[in-house]
Amino acid sequence: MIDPLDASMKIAGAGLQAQSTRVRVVSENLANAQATGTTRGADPYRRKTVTFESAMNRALGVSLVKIKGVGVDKAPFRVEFEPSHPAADEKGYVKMPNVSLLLEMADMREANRSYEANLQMIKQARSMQSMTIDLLRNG
Amino acid sequence: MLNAISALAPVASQVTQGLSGLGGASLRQGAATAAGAAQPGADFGSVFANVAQNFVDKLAEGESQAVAGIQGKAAVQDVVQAVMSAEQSLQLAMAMRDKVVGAYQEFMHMAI
Repeated sequence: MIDPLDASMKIAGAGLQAQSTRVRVVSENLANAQATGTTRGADPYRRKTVTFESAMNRALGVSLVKIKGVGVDKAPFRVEFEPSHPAADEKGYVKMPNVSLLLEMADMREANRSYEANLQMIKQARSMQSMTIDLLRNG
Repeated sequence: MLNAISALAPVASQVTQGLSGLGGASLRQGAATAAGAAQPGADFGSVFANVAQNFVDKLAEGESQAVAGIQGKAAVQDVVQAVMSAEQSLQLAMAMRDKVVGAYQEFMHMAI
């Protein structure tokens, strides 16, 4: 049997890790927003997506969150007319990554907020533990 | 009157023996046994031993995580969590130590 407050700190810790992975994926997408192919008609960078799942931890007896997998977005690429580009096809069109800056920003903001929420959870559990230990001191 | 006071003496010595035995036992048990949940209805000595062992484990974990973090092998969240856990255990151990020492002094200063 583990202390529920300890357990909630561990759960929130798993949340922190999940959200930081999400931020990593967002930064990959943002950094590669202009990454085209190098050969004629080659595919550019494909946007990555991240999915979460609930994972039962038998040792703790709680459900932690974990990364289910980093997949790819199947959305079509947008094309730009740029005949001098090495990745341009016969008609002069270059396929650009299917990364939408607006979408990535929204994703990043959400990851940030979830991270904050998990941090707050840890803070709360910690202060409850401290308050309980303080009973021994002044009580 | 005198008889009553002399009858108190063995009781007091028993109490102090119990207290010193408690401190020794907890340290020895803490060093020897692996950390486990306290048995239901266990005496205070074994509870304290458990807390002490838990504290030692948490401190060791915090230390190893901190080293791994400096080497860049551990996520910063893990390091912070392990160190925080060690700190919390330290607080608990110190609070319990103060209680035990306080109880011991209480007995030592008992007016006889």
